[in-house]
Amino acid sequence: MTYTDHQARPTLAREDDEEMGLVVAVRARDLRAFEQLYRRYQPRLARFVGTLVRSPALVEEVVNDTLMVLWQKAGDFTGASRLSTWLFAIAYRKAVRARNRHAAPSESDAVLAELPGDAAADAPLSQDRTRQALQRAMAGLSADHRAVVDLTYFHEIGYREIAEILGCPVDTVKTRMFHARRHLRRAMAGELADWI
Amino acid sequence: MGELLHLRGDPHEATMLLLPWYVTGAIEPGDRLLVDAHLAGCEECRGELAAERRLHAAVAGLPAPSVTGWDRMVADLAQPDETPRLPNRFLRRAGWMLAAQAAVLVLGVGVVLHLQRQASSPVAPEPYHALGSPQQAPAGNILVMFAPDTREPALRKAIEASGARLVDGPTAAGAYLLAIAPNERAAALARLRAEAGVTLAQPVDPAP
Repeated sequence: MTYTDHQARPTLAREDDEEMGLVVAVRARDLRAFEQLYRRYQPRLARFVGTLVRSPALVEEVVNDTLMVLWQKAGDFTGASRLSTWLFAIAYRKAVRARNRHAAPSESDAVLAELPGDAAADAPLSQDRTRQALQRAMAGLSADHRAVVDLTYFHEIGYREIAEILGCPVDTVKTRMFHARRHLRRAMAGELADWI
Repeated sequence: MGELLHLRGDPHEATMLLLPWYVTGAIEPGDRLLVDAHLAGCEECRGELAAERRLHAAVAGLPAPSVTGWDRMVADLAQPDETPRLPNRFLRRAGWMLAAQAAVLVLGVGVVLHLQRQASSPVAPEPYHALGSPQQAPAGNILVMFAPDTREPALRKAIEASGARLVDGPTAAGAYLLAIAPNERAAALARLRAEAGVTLAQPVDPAP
């Protein structure tokens, strides 16, 4: 008996083969191949980097710097890992450096202040309100916990690959996710009891 | 969601930790079997699974920041620096598409020759093996976990004494998958459960 939503991911292997072909073309300075990879990864990397740094300008800078590495150093990608793992790991390191460079101690508070607060509690329960509550709950997580949640639930990346991206042990990924889930559900439970 | 006390050796806690990846499907085959086996007998974890599915859907539905970067990237590519790039004049003249075409024309002969050299190279490149290739579920029919302090000789002895063959593990959750003839499985399970360090010995029949 199985309770799993997705049984197999055969399309991943096809994507990997296709991406390797594009990387080989990028090594040969094929700008169109690069643009294909850019357009495929830029939104995903932007979302991921957005969990680590807040300023849209900084997100764009980190994402473009990351994809510039693909253009300039495609030869460094050997296929030992998936291209997504390689790019996300580069983006993570660049985002951490950017975050340290532009350290804003109360960044999380600033984001919380931008999100609708209790005043929205009188509004009818809606998808928007759920989303806002979740965004507030996510903003209450540390950047590393937020990154694990996003890599797991949005990008649907496995724990071993996430450990590779973040440069930490697999058990750390699982415990970070465990504590993040607990935080999110506690934060959501008061407002949206029927949701959790 | 319960408190987390240990990381290994307890299928309930292992399942609690693995549920997010069980929900998305990005879970290793041995760990999926472990979770399947535990969920069948744990109502609490089945409740957790339902909540995790809602959380997954909600997080996946959060809007992403809107970023437009290709134009800036093309501009960056046009900037001279120490690394070799496409000639600036092409990029500046007619946008990326024309630039790409022009670059291909200019570089075409060299690239083709280069690729031909690669293709005819006597040294065959390593075959590309995608890590995302679909993993075949190992053909085991017993899932076993050991207490965290179990030493390797005791672990090996327990597996050997069971008569079963180790086919996979340890998984990320610390479980092992064993294989044995179906008519001998019940006896092997009994032998495993009698071993001091064994915290779980569970028959598994993975879906075909």
